[in-house]
Amino acid sequence: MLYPVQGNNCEMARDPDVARVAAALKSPGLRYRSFGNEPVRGAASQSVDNSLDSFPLVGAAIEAATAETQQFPPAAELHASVPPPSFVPLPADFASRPSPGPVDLSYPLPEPTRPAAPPPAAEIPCRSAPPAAERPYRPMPPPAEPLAPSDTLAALLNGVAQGVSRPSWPAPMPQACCPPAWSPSRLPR
Amino acid sequence: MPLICIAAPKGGVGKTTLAANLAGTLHRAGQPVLAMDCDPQNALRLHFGLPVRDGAGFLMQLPLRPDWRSLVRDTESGVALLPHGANDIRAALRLAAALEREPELLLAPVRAMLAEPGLLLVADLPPGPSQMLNLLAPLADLVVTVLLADATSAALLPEIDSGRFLGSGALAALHAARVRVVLNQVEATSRLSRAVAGAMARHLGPRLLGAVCRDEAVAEALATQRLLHAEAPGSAAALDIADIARGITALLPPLPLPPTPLPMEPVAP
Repeated sequence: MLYPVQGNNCEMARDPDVARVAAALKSPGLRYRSFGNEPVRGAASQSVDNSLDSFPLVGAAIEAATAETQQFPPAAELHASVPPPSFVPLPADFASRPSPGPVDLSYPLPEPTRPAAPPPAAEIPCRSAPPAAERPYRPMPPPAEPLAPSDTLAALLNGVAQGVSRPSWPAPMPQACCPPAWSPSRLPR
Repeated sequence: MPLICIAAPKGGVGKTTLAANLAGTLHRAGQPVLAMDCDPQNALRLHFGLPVRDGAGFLMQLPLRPDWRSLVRDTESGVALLPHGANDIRAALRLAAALEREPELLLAPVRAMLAEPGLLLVADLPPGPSQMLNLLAPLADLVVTVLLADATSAALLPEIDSGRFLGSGALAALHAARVRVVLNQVEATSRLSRAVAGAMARHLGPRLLGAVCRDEAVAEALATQRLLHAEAPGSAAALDIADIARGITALLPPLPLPPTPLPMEPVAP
């Protein structure tokens, strides 16, 4: 950015480079004059996040972290228990099989039916309930309402798109059904 | 059953406070929780009401191969607790050497804990790289890494992104996929805090599990030796932590309900 000072000469704003030179030369009054020329450094080379211009260390740290992320991209899957997609090889004679021929589009297709809705979620059994033959698994929470993030996170994410949406939180258990403090069986195994 | 490691690349970020309150919030959501203090500062117990002079614990006894079940403490919050135990420099060095020589001293009991049906294990790890983190990260379902919204924490982001912070050599990048970040003590009135938190949120994307605002209620809860949801349930920080607990639960696989426990005598705190 240029602004006129003393006649035809122009003085650039004190960007970090000028400030560093001024500090190195111990000349806080040092100014850079462009003599009316356009700045060499284009807008594309400016920092993406203007809010970090005041904090060079933070900007440098984010740049370094971005470089690390590009070198070690985080894996898409979080949990190891998720099996990798299985690959079923085609039969050996697949290439020699006859073509199925053209598809008859006049064939009346039935209306797609939606799968039946699951029965309403049963109440979470209490620990005092009689033990079942097979341990019940916690029912999946109903995907009813989108979760509103907390104020602090929402303020941070203002304008930042999140890659994943969080599922809703299971309803808190009633006090009577809350599990008692877990205690191990103190018998050595 | 799931292991959640609460870690931090540097000290003083509120890691232990977050570990205690996350454990309490997860228990209130209906899951039995065992909180294990792996931090030699031995401070996790204070959040759960144990006396300052109570120096008993599990980790410090590891070289003696103790039965971990006999050292579990019941707490008022309902969270079962394995304190670290009081220690001094000699004991700490002895423990580090023993774990270096024989990792199974820690891994065997942790595997036994993880075999307890329905039990959620929350481990509070020492700040910075450590042998504890190196051993437990491969077993962890989630490594919740606590940072502050300041320049020092931002400078540690490359260590987190690369997985070097977790140790484990060449497998570090693999384990890094299980790292989620929590920003602690975010101050909306601070220009620096806002700038750093915003930049971290943009950089981390979905790896940012949540943020906790700076709230005096957090320090007051510790001063009363109670968890935040018991001391100030409506505080902004308590709501932030509850939101983070929701995010953690969403990332974990469905948990089976625990079996009915055998009747037993409670252990006095």
